[in-house]
Amino acid sequence: METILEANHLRKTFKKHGVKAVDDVTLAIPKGRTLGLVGESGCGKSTLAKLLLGLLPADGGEVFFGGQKIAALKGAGLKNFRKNAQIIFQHPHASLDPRLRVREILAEPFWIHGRPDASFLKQKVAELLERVGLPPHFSERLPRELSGGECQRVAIARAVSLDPALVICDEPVSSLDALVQAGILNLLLRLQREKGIACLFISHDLRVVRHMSDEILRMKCGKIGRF
Amino acid sequence: MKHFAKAWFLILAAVLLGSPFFAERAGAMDFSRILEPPSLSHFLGTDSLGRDLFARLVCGAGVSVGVSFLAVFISIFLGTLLGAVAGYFGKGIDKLVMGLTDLALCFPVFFLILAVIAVLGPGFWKIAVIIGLTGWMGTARLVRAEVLSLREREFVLAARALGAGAPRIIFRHLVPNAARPIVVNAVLGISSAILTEAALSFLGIGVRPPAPSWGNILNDARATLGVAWWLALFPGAAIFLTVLSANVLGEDIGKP
Repeated sequence: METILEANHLRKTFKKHGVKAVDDVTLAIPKGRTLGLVGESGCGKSTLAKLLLGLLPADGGEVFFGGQKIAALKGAGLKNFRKNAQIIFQHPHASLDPRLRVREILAEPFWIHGRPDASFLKQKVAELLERVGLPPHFSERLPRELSGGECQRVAIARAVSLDPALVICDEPVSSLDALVQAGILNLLLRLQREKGIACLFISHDLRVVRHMSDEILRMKCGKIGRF
Repeated sequence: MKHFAKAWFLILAAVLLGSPFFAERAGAMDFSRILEPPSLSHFLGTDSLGRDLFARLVCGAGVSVGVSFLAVFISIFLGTLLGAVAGYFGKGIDKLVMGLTDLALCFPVFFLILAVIAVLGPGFWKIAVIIGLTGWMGTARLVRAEVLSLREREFVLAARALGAGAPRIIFRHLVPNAARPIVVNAVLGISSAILTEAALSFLGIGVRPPAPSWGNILNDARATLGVAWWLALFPGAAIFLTVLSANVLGEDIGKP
């Protein structure tokens, strides 16, 4: 099957504590499908997510996105990769800039990738809010005026705003209560099916991963195993 | 205390707006009425050239406050820029900028200012710029520390994942989120800039007479201190109240 993202022998050690956070990890995410990753907290899942997106430099190994090595990407190539690979974080409030309104948060991707005009942005923001099931008047709110679930919906809207090919979900529902969790998971599934987005779904909760994934990997002490 | 500080700044603002109307009076000498104590016609008394002290204090406020605001603006701008760049990029750039900061902190700043003024000569703009250029180090350290903790936050990672470049992350996300400590620093900076300007003018190398500044009014008072207490008391009180108010306000803004 065609893969969208591949990692070969990825390694990362944090010098300060001498912890091997990611130890010789090899994985491949198929196009349009969901790869689940379970592991207890502190086993290196989040570090792996950051390595895969090039948000942290790896100590060894390489990551390929659409056949291109991401460590070597520059300029337009890097911008294209950033447009196509997104991440959703665990803490809903921490992943939104506390000083920006929802409208500004959702407009940012379009500012970064092009110079849009005001009416285009307005329409896009309204569209995105609708896609994640938030009422239009939320565009004027600040993150602190939203609940955890609502924040996570905004973060999801931001992540899918540029129609990426891959979204890494790093514990997207772990800090939400059960009812809200179900709503967010269903939203993710729906968006993924609509647009055929590939997904790496990271969680410590096996039931959640089972619900979301086509294939599941297990991570323990930085190493990856079949489940 | 807080309300008092706010009130004092409101009074200062009113004084600044009104200062052009007092310019003529501040320079008008009347040798028949020198060194008069406070009275109804001369509200705060007159100086050794028969000039009205109140008018001179009002005009001096424009100079003293103007110099310190400009100086603080320059130092906050420089400090924020350097601190944010050092904190965000880290590694070599951080070492370079922080090395520069430590180096600048090693200079006895006041004597550096004295030396520079001795070469360039005094004047409103020169004083403001030189105080500004020697006052950015504290802000740079503070902003760097803020940025170091902010840059690991998830909303910054999210912006990087979206492909935001360094300028956008620094000026759109990092600096606005460090705004509170920066503002505190600026307000506290005003008090030290006012003191520095006053000290320079007191030494006679700040703002040049006959243009009044709080510092040089105090300097003039020195010669007649034994007979004219009001010439030292009122400008001293103006400096004292302004510095105190800036400190109180700075602390208040800094409270979470």
